[in-house]
Amino acid sequence: MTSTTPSSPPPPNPLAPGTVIPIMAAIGVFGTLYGAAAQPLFGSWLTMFSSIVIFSGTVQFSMLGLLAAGAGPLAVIWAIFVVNVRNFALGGALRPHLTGNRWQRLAVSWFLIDETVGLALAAPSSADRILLRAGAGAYLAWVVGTGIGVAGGAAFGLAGMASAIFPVLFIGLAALMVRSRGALVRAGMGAVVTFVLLLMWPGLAGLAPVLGGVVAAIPAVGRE
Amino acid sequence: MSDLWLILVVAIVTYLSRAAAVVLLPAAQGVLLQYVSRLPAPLFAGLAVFTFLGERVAVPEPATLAAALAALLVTPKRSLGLTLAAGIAGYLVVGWIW
Repeated sequence: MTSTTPSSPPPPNPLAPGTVIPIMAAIGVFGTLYGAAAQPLFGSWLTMFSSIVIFSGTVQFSMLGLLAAGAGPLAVIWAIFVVNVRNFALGGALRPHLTGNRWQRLAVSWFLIDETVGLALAAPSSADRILLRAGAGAYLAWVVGTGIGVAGGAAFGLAGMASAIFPVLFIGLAALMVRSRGALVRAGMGAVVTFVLLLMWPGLAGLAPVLGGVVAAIPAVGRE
Repeated sequence: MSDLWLILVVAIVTYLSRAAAVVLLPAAQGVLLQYVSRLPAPLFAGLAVFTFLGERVAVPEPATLAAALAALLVTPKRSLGLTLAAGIAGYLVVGWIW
């Protein structure tokens, strides 16, 4: 599955500055927004601590939103468990390409986030190295971004752009995954199924793309 | 439960979900391997739709729409940097006009 057919485009270099720096910038902006939003609720120290020990924008924004809406700890923990279900899909796709031993996989799993998995799967023969290096960059960007947000950096009017950066980022990552006509069809199916699920059951939220991906990956289309 | 403890529990749940997928579960083989190899493209496409519509599942701002369209236009190049640049350019241009 990792071999490239003669007609396939050359695989991109996921660690090229032109690839990693935009991702770090996007994550840094999102971290800034998180820092600015969380600081009034948690205070500066706990906001920084949360980014250092959790390192997940989806999880941290979900936690923040639920707490701000008055949810109790058990509701927050359950919601976070549901949000994290997609890590099983991401990790399951990445696992066959990780060559390190159990302890090495345990270490690099800290960096298992949507963006780094996308980069690692773009060049699966170097998945361990990419996960580690891109993950370290993403982690640094996230924590520094949070610090800027805590210090008042959200005043730069980045909120609107942040809402546009992540769809663009995931479009780019999906494009990196498309190496065949079948993958293109499945990407379209995944988008459509997710869209329909969100329209019918908006409460699914972050679970919808997981279900969309799981369903769209079932059929094998054309030559893989 | 204090905020500190809640953050710690959330951190543990999040890390365990990451580690379990790549440490505890066996590597997929055979038919399952073929299946998981088909998973990333639709999963990331779904994530694009989810972040595009947002948690409230609403029509996005015109600038966000322009960013997504501009990004889609350059996807045949399969360059993440170019996709992000196109998306940001689309966002800025339409945001400036609108």
